[in-house]
Amino acid sequence: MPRAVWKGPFVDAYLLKKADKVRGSGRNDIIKTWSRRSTIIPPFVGLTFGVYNGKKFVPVSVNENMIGHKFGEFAPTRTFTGHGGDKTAKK
Amino acid sequence: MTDGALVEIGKIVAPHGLKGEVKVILFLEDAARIEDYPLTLQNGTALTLESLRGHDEPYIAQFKGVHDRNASEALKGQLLYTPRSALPPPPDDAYYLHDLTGMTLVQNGTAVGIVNGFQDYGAGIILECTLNGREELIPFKDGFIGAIDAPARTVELLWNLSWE
Repeated sequence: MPRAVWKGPFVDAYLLKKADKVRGSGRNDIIKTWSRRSTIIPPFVGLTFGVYNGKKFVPVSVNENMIGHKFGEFAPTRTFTGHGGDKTAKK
Repeated sequence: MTDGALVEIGKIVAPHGLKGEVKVILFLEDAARIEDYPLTLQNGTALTLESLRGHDEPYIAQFKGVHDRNASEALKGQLLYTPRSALPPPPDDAYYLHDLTGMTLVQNGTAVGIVNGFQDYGAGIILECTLNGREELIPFKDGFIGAIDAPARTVELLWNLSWE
């Protein structure tokens, strides 16, 4: 059964405070969080979070397409080594 | 990475059928590009692609000179390589991910670390780096990474390791 709509998305309160603080400071700090269960909400867009995967804080740069997903979805807890092949990346 | 270096672009995972076809997974942005690249195995043996079919991984490939089950089973587990020089120049402001590996991280003109690899978990490219003896994950993003000097093989680090 999905979460009741009237409750709104779940976000740990401390994460909202941290996000407000970083947004106010204007610095490009990475926000450490252990809260993999928190939902990504619109005020988080543009910020970078370090989501704990049990070993490291995996940087997650939040964009609009991630809204509604949980932070944990972007920080796998099991090791995977990818291949570059001919893939390119832009900053 | 030098132009003479080889780049991993795929892997033969299993034989397919009795006529020498094999299942391959490709590490390419577009699987059809494999036809543009000369292929070699790790031991230097050249392979020529005769056909590639399928809509998703694993694709079914047929290589020249491989026309029976015994020959295709011998290829199982082999990685496919292409020379770095065979890859086209990357688009403007883009970089081949494998080229970033091994680059030196520079901050305020001082070498502070090295790029060991990269990951992509769906939230942007992440560089796996060793900084001052510690392993760090750094987002490959403006504000964290500055200018990249490909000939000098350096990456400018803008992030001052500040966490909230």
